Order: sequence, then C-alpha cells, then structure tokens
Amino acid sequence: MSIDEIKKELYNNVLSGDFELTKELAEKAISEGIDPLEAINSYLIPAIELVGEKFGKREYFLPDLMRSANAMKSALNIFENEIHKSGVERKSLGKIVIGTVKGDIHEIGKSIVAALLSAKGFDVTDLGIDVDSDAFINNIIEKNANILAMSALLPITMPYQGVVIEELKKRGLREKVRVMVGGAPVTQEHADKIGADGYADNAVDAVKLAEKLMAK
Amino acid sequence: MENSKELMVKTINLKKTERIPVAPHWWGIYKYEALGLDYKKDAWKDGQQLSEVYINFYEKFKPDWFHLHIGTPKYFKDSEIIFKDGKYYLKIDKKFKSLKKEDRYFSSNSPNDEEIIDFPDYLLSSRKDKPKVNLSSKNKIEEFIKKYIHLSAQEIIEMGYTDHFPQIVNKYGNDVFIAVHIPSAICEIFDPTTGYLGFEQGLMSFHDYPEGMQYFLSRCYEEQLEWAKAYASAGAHSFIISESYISPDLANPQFYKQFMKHIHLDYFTEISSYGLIPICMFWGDVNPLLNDYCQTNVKAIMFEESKKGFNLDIGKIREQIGHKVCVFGNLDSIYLLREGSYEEIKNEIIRQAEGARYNFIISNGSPVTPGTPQQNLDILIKTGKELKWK
Repeated sequence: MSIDEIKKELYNNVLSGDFELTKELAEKAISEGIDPLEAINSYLIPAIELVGEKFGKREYFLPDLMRSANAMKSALNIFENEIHKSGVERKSLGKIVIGTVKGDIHEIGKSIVAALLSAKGFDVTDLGIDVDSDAFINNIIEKNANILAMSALLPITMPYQGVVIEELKKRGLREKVRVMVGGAPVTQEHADKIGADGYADNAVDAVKLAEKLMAK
Repeated sequence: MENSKELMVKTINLKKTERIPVAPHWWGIYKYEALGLDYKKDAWKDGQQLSEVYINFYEKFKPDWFHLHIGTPKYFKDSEIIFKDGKYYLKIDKKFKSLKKEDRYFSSNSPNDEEIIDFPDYLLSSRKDKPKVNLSSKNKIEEFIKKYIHLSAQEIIEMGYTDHFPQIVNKYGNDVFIAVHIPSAICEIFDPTTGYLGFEQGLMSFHDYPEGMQYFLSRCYEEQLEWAKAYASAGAHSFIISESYISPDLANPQFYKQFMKHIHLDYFTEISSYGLIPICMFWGDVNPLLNDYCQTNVKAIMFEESKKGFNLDIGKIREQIGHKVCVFGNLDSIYLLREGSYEEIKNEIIRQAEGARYNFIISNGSPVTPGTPQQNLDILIKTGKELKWK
C-alpha cells in the first residue's frame, strides 16, 4: 500500500467506523514515516468532522457516530504516542470539563458532545452523570479548564446549571471559565437567565460553540 | 352516558364516543407532589399504601384512567427509612431478606444485601453491579436470563409487584380504565447505567453480534410477557410499554424494521390474548416509522411532545397513518402544561383534537412535571372533558 493509499484509507475507515482496520492503518502509517500530526490534522479530523455533519443531517446515526469515534480514537492514541515520543505536544484546542448535573442520570447527549469535542481536538474531562458543583469546580481548578459544559435532561435538574454558575461566582472563578449549557429542555432563554456564556441546540453546534468561546 | 372505562375502550377500538377521553400522563413523581408528599420518602410505600396514593390523586383530578407504574415489592413494607449524607436509605426488614434475594428485577446496591441506598434513584441504579450479557452464544444468553431476568408471573405476584392493584380494581375496575405502564425490554437492555448491555454496547451489538442481539431481544420480550400475565390477573385493562433508545433520531430506522418489528407484532398480539389492550409509548422521533408501528397489532400509540430536532404534530401524524390506530395527544408538559395559561392549554387541546379527527385521547407528551400548577392539570382535564366531537 502506498503512502497516499494509507492516508486515504485512514480517512475512509474513520468514516466507515472500522476500529481494527483504522488501528492497523495508523501503525502502518507510523512505520512508513507519515508525520503523525499531519495524519491527525489532514485525515482523522476532517473524517470525524464529516461524520459529525452527516450525523447532523441524519445520514449517520448514533451507532455510526460511536463506531467512527472509536475508530478515530484507536488511531489517535497511536499518533499521539508517537508525537509524545518526539517531545512535541499536540496543540489542544482548549480544556473542557463536561458532565450531567446533580440529580440527573441521563448521559447520552452529554456523551455525544464529549465524543465530538474530543475528536475535534479539545482536551475533554468527562465527569459523567449526577455531578455536583464541588466536583465541577474542583476539576475546573485541577485541570485549569477553559470551558465548563453542563447537560441536563430534566426540567427539575436544569436549574442546577445556574447553581453551579453561582458557585463559580462565589469562588471567584466565573471570569476564568466560559460556561456552556445544553440538554433537551434547555433553551437560549434559560442559558441567558442563569448567566451562561453559550447554549447549543445539538452536539454538532456544541462543538462550534466551544470553538467560538475559545476564540473570545 | 359512557363511563371513563367505556370511553377509553371504545376510543382505543376506533369507535365513536360521546366525548373525547382525557388520560393525562401521570406516571411519574408528580402525584406525590400534588398530594403534599415527599417522593424521596413516600415512594417507599408498599403496594397497599401505594394504591392509596393513586386513589387520592385520582379523586383529586378525576382523569379517565389510572396510569399505574410497575409497583413496589413486598419487602419495602415495614423497612426502616434512614436519612444520612443527603440520601435516603431503606433497611430491609429481616423477615423479608429471603424474598429480597429472590427478586431478580431489582438487586441490592449495598454489599450486605440489606440496605437499598439512595431510593428512589435506587430503582435506576440497583442493577449497575450486575454483569453484562454475553451475546456470543444462545447458551450464554439463556444462562444470563435464568440468573438475572426470569421471574414467572406467579413469582412477580408473590413478590408484591401487583399489590397496588386490588384496592383500585375493586373500587374503580368497572368505571375507570386501569393501565399499567412499564419500561420495555429495550429499556432494560439499553439503560446506560443499569442495562443488560448499556447504551453504547447495546447499539454496537446490532453491528457486532446481530444474531445474538436478535435472539436476546426476542427472549427479553418473551420474558416480559410474564409481567403482562401478572398484571392481567391483577385486573389491569391495558399494558403499556415505553420504547426508547432505538428511536429513529438515535438509531437507523432499518434497525427497527430488521430487529424489532416482528418481535413487537408477536408481543402485542400475545398481550391481546391475555385480555389486555396493548399500548405503546414510542419516545423520540417516530415520524420515519409511524406506518411500521401501525402494523404491529398495537392498539394505541403515545408520543412525546415535539423536541429539538423533531416535530410531532398530531394532525400531521393522523394524515400519515390515517385511522389505523388510536393516538394519544402530546401536549407539551413543560412549556404548556407547567407554564402555559388557561387559554393556551385550552387552545392546544382543541387544536390537537381537531387535527386528530376521532380515535384520539387527550394527553400530555411526557409525565406531568414537578412544579406544574395543579390548576393547569385541572384545566387540562376539565376542558378536555367538555370537548365533544363535532
């Protein structure tokens, strides 16, 4: 297989979500001397972006998205190890702490957003579900996070997004971290009301929002 | 004049009625709030106490149905409730310890098998320590079902899961429609925290183990028929399942056609043979599969309200499926029922009923939300009951 074919197949196999083949191709790419940074930026990221677009248009569904994200991660690990060995660090788009708020155990939407953010190049710390303000804030401090992303699926739990923002203010951290919120019942109006910096309607828009917030 | 039960049964069987039945979705925790109870403590109730909650709520609002949940096991009775570190704990009374061990529906989430931690969230978290099913062979699937899923109808009854029925059935069985609403087998498999596969592994298994997945799905639905038999013998009129996790906004609609449609057909047909009316609540964007759902022998379909990314308009649904099945309304439980005015609620009820044109039950798209003013639920029920078909 030529170098050009390896690159092309890396892209195609992330699109089709073939975990094993993508991993093999990444190993082959390294042994053939392909620049890992170029492989990530020119093939893996464009492929996962296209997956995200297709998901947004309902040409791809969640299982396709998950398979592609897993395939991409398998290659990403190999390339990042190689970059690390060379003493260079891959530039992160920003550090994000994400979780579903206290009292809420729904995680599908949050996990999709986390997967897409990670794939795009953000350094994501996913705290899971039922996360209280202490856990959010401790992780923001520990990771020196740029963005806090909070999800809530229930009308009774969405006010907790505001509770966390108030706690950030009390601890003098509000100006240091941008806050984005989402979830089925969450609206722009709610985001404005609680003083969040941004709201996204879906996972694809959440990634765009994170990029926008980082540019501010 | 038709009573509530007759109205519901006739409407579901696509017959004309004097007025439109009103069956709000009151399955969730709102009933505790409406009665001034604290669901964190009061959801511990055993079957008999639970039936009083249902009866008091019914008497307060007088909807056309009882919308019952799965019930509670006998071992909740006389158990001590402990509150510590912001969480409620239930200490199982020693006399029920052996009964608790036999319950394969919920398992204890504490090492000593005597405490249930963080109820009612326990109901969702109790199974997280169970192993995941291995789909590689039928034998392994059968072993898993035997160990972790199977309960016969008789065991379900003995465990106490139907104990909330007798009082309600004796008092209202002839006059009011009594439906029990339980999570479908898909939910038991796909729940991200407690499912036999979990959400991600569940979805991936359609690709990775299609044969094992097909067999497991089919067996789980078969096993769930035991619950339908138990509720039929307890006097339920209808058996409702909630279908989630593989709706067309999440999974390719082809999954449903390939893996689920024939299972649903057999399942709903079997439920009808027990004398129960099968109803299905399809969560998510149902639009791409509406006609498929109508071919499964289900008698009525419930939908959630429109959400981000999909629009579920009762009039458009009716246009698409005609009058093949009865449909429930999907008034928005948050932005209309909780926050709307009298005029807004009334107008939306009328708009949905006009769009449905018969064979329609007034309802909301998801459980009544905590914080909903009681007068708004009153408006829904009273306004709905005044409506007549033109």
